[in-house]
Amino acid sequence: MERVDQQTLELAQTGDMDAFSVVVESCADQLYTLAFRFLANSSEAEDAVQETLIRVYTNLPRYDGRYKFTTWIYRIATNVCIDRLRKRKLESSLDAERDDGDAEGTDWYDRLPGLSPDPEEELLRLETCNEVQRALADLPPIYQTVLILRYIQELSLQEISDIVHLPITTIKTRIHRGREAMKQLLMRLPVS
Amino acid sequence: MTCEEARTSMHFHLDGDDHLHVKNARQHTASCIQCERHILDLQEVEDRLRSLQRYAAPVDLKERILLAVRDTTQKRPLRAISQMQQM
Repeated sequence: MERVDQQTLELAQTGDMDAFSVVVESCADQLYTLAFRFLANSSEAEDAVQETLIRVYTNLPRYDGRYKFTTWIYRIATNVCIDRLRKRKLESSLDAERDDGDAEGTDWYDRLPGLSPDPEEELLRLETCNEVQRALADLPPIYQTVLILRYIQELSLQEISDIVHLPITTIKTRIHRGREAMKQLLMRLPVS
Repeated sequence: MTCEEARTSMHFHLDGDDHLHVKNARQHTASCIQCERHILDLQEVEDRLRSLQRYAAPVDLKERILLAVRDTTQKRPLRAISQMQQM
């Protein structure tokens, strides 16, 4: 994320729209990538980014500088994404009950929008079928979170620790287990 | 050092740590084909995660967000609330 200068931040805290648009520009791409990696779906990722930035706007006057501004935004964004994953899981388990356990065809990639004439959308859809993304989506959210923050957002262990409010030792353990789980999922696939 | 201990320690190696147990694990791994394979696999996992594509947020998404916050009220700063309570 790009750094937002103090003056712009303070203006955004008072509801200044131009200043807030600078905040949006500074983080929208990273938040979209983050949300897409969590949710593996472009329209859900857009909704998650929108929800995140509305929460950022609403809570801006209460941002007290205790953590870096980007850390604070990442914390809101990961919470939004994890909430959405939980809701999705709950809904799919309810659906499974309704369908009398017929879970076939309810995998996450089947919930993607259908073929789109937009080439960019199509690229996203194809990339979603990427086996790394699929393996990532199979992990419990606590491992997804640390792996996305570490390898896709390229954050330090200290920053991740600040974002999820857990000690670095716990972050490391989760990264270790997450890597092992990814290895299991990826290495048992046939070589393409 | 057992293979299991070496594999646990090699995760710290991947994190950039260089404690004594990591050095011992590196020695073990250099002479154990299975553990060497295990670490190479984990490094491949890291590489593949790093190589996942980054995206640009759609322009209309940013416009939608700016439009949505126009109808949104910001919370009051906590500082102001505690000052009011003191009055």
